[in-house]
Amino acid sequence: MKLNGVQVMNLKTQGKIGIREYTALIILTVSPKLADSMPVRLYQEIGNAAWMGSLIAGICAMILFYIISKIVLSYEDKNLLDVIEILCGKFFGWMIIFILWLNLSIHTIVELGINTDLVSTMYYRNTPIFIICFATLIIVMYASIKGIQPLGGAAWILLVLTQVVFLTSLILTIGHGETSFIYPLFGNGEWNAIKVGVKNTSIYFDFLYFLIFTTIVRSKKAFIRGTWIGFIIIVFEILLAILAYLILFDYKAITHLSFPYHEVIRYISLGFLTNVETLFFPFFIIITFIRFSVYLYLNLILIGRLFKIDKPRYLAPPLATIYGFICLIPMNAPFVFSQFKTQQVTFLTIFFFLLTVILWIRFKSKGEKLNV
Amino acid sequence: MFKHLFLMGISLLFLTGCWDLKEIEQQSYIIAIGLDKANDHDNTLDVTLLISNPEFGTQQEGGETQSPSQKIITLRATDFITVKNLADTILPKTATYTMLEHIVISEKLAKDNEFIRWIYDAAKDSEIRRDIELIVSKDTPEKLFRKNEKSILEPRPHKYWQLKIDQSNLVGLSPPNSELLNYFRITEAGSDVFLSIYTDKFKPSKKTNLNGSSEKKDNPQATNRGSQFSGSAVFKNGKMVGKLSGEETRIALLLNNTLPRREFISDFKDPFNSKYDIAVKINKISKTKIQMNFDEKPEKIHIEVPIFLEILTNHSMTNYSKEKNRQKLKSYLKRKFEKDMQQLTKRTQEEFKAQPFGWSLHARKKFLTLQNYEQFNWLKKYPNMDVSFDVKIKIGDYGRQKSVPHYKEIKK
Repeated sequence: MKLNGVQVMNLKTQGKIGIREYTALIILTVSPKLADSMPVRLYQEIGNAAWMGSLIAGICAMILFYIISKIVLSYEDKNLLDVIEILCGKFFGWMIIFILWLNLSIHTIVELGINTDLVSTMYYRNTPIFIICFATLIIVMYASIKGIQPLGGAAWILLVLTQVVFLTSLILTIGHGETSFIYPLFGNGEWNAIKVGVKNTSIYFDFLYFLIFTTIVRSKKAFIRGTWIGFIIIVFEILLAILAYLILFDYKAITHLSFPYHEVIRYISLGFLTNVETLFFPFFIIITFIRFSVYLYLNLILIGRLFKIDKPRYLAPPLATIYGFICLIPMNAPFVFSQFKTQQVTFLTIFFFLLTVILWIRFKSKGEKLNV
Repeated sequence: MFKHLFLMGISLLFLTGCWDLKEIEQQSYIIAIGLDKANDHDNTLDVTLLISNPEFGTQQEGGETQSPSQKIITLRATDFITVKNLADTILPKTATYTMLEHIVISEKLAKDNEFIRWIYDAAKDSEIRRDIELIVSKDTPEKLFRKNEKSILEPRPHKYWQLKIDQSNLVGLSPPNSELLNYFRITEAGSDVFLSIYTDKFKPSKKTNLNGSSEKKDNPQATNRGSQFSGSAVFKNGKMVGKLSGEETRIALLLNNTLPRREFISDFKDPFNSKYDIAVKINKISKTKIQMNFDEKPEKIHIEVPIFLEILTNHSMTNYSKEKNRQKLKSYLKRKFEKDMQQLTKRTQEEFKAQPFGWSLHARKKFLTLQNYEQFNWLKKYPNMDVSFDVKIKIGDYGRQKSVPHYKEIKK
């Protein structure tokens, strides 16, 4: 009997990840945003109050996430997608999930395009972008086919190392900079900062998708704790990064940069070691792999759900190939993606808000009780 | 286990980055480039490349190699990016900027209105880092490189230039933040001037001392024809508008909070006997305190500079154990410093109409939003501002031996 009990336990936790792996996974998925063009976008809109904007965006996203997570976790053993179907009915539920998938696909494609552009302009000048893009995709594809457990394990192994590297580079940057660049404190006006901050809530849009992992993480408690730990670390890290860029470049010069993080690591030096970008770049690229693997994995779950596919992981190769080809279509990638991004950010924020409101209203009108 | 090791080994092959692979021995490393206006063509540069010889100084079987330490070539091109390909037609190895450390600009080019168009190429090329130092040279860059080609103390060029610049930075005669990053930052922010390292040929001039207190002195090193790194070139809105002498650069360092603090030795006329000078070691102990009052017209700035001094020579053989003498010396030096600072400020207000002291950063603290700050228009207001100084002097040390015998005691 005892043996039987153990077996049951094993079955229950099979294919699930613990709090460590889960936290590592979400940190590695969201934190690379500090290294792409997101900070520059904030600086262009609100001047040197960008750090405030990112903080406001973080707080907004936390509130929204708090509400949605309360709703989702009120149900036992259900994830976001189940809850959407329960609350909004079969048809509208399907529509919402479809929009979720569309958003994530576009997000993946745009981010992949930006990443390819980054690697080819900053590091591999002579390598064709086709190769850069598909080398990334092959690894990402392999990782997402393997499933969430190996991914979580890999994230946990890499977490400490990559975060130490990130923090080292940021702290070194602050050491080189001049703190009085943060004045005038409110940038282009305090209302502007709040407005843009709220508009950019979608920086932390990924957390909505992490609610799909509720049934994959071993326990509800682990999920709640892991997400909040990850959330706070990420908001703090992005805030630190944005401040570090400001302190080094000042508010005007930064608006002309494409990828401030990669400019920063080209400037700093580790004692007698110059050209440290060759040291930091590999870690960045490894985080990128984890990040896109998570995106692809989530895409696969959504597709499986939408079209009732039993083993959606076999769709990884075709899906990755399609994403790869679409992201290579734009000819003037740096301009196209950055323009697209500014519009997408607003749309995602509105969607995030609306979804929260809809779920909340349906939840209340159904007369359900919060159960967390 | 074996399988894993094998897989890891195989995966290493993917890390080479085939398309961007460049063998170390197939590249020629450019340590510094010099930019000069081509004489008879518009929009054309004479680009001088200083290429290091990596083989130089290495121990080989037959003793040290006899090859020269560097190669200097000058090419005419429209910019310093195309010059890399042009150099490839001459050199057997691919020219690369990955080891580039200095950009030398001739004074003529720096003073050109169009200079900014060329220097922004540095922000476009992915091999050029932002910590590259800008040097403005009175000579043409090629001449400067040739002059410094054969140094006995340090023949390797990548070390030589770095050491030379560091040395004059350490004593405060060159501005320490003469980097591309700061050039772009200050040019784009547009409210300060940028100080760049300035080099001229060594002048055995009448005024060899750095504070200009005495008139004529013979210089024993008059035969030295090397180039001297002293003073700084002033860039306003990306264009060179003038220069500061070494002494003025030091004062700018004392007043600027964004630059690192340096310790330097300078000399002043002795207040007890005007025939002699006293050598003084100057050390700024803490940050300069800046107070600004924008409510009044003209706007007021009050600067408080805490300075720690060490008296190194005592040629008038004054007895400093007397409180009265110490007070006299102190108030004399205080007045001297304040006068020098006042003079430099006046010069920046009248000649450059902008300041190299980073005071605009302090003014930013007075405003809550960028719009208010830009409306205030610091750059326009600065020339009419009322600047006052208060130098807080502490004389901490009178040398290793605190007193010397009185002159008359010995020469009876």
